[in-house]
Amino acid sequence: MTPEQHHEKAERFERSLALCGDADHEARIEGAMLAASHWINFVLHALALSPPDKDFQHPYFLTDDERATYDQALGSELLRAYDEIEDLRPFYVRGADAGGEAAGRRALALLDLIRQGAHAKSTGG
Amino acid sequence: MNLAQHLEKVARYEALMERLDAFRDFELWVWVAMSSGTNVLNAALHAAGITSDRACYPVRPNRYMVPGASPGTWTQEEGPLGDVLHVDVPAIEAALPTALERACEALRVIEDARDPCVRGLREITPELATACEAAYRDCIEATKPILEERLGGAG
Repeated sequence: MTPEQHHEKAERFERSLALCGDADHEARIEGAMLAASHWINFVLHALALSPPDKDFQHPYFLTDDERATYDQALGSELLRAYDEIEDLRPFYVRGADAGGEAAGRRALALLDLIRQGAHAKSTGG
Repeated sequence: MNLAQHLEKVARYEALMERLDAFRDFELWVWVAMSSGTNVLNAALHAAGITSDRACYPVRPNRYMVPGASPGTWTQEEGPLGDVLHVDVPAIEAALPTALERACEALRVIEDARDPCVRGLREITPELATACEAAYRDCIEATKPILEERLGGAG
């Protein structure tokens, strides 16, 4: 997918996420993860750090070299924020721990951070 | 997770599905439908005694987060089949009742659309959304007798 196509997918997710409330914490976490993956692919492709036919999906699929390269180019906070969304999933999406609503709100805050970071880096920030 | 926890999640997912438009919001809708359907399947598998409803959360196929020795701590371990992550992930070796085979077939329709439309560029059409809505309803209908029998017995 091209950077523009990832951008559009991320925005479609964010429009749908706007329909979620606090009670929809599982969907917020999952939707934030999916939108964030498109923002990360948007910037990776825009900076030619990965080709359009090789999309980032989950951090645990990255080699150590890929992770180091992406962290250096994007700033480590971007993928750390993504890691944090992923870490919410076992407890609040696939599990039923207390605190799901706060976790859902945290996922959206991390998505904001990732979107802003991806945009800044894509324009040389 | 236990049956009640799965069904609480299903109720939340279905409340959201009422607010989402299956076509316009397809990417999030299909993910939510898959998640809700997988919870229904897990509940029915527990109700039928095919998988364990012990307190653990799947991380990857056959790996679970399990409560640690002190409150709020967790460890990862392999164990007997608990909640499945997706239909066929991990595969269930036990023979399934016909109703659960039907539920799995319905979920595969949703799963087949999920990644190509969410992570890729497969065209999202009203017909695809309608087919996934029908598949979701079929999954719910197929599991209903097993869940009602269990819940009726428990009540």
